Amino acid sequence: MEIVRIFDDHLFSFKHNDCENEFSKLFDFWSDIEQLEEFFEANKYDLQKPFWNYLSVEDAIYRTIQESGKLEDSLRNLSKQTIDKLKGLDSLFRPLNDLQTNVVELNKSKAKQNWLRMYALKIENNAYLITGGAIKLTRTMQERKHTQLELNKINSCHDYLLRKGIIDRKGIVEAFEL
Amino acid sequence: MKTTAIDRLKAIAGDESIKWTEKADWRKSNRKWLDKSARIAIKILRALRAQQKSQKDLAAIIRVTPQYVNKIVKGQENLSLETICKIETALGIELISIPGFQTEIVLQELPDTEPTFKFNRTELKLIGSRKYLYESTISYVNEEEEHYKKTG
Repeated sequence: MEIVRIFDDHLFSFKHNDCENEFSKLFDFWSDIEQLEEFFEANKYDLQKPFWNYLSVEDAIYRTIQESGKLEDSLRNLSKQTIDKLKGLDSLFRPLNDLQTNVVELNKSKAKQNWLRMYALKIENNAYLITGGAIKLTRTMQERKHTQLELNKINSCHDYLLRKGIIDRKGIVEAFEL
Repeated sequence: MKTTAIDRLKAIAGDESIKWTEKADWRKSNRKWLDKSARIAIKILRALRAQQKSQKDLAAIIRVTPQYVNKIVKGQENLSLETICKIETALGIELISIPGFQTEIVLQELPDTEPTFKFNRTELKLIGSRKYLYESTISYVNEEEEHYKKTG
């Protein structure tokens, strides 16, 4: 396990083995039609709910690549800003627990609810360390294997930071999601 | 001097910023055709699933390598029209369609009367002791126009 810088002193990512880092892996996954088709085919019953408007697998794939493009563009725009102007990351990430407990309310307040999630540990203001991400189709992360796995990753990444002495128990980092 | 968490993080972090920014910029500048490529890939994958065919099967039918088909179904391939047509034939589906030409056709409204034909009939007729050339025209309004020309 290692840590890599994505841009400036603001966005970092975990990287496992010799693979792509977690951040890049997400954008690769969200633009890979073959992988998305397999994912939505395996999770198509989650789409067959009023909340997702009984979306077809085809529409779900297309929606994912569109949302992923928008998200990547907004992060890329943030990365071009000068350090003192860069305050946008704090507005993009939300505390993980708040989101989970208030998920219904949040969903209602958003006309177009997005299912793309990036999980990160907040190191300090406007500085985040990406642990992974997912396509979250259920209300809680515990309901599906792939989102439960992301929860486990957040915990193991947190432990790694403690072991390496990057954080201590006093200055404990919080888990956030985008 | 006491270091902060971000300082300690920076000290051990490798730099992969260029890798992502290059990819992100490439995806953005090629988004228009990538979007079309993605939609084609979706249709191919769904057809393969419905017809219980593998990517290898498709590769064999259109005579390309399975690796090339895999590139297509990932939605990252700038496909040629020839390849698109081969896949359309192989799977019996339509992948792209060209909008119809924008020529405006103005149809002249015809009257309700049925006949739309017109023909001429010419014959010689004897009226009394004189010969007349009888010309008859039936037009689309079904009115028979007749007139006689004196022939002699």
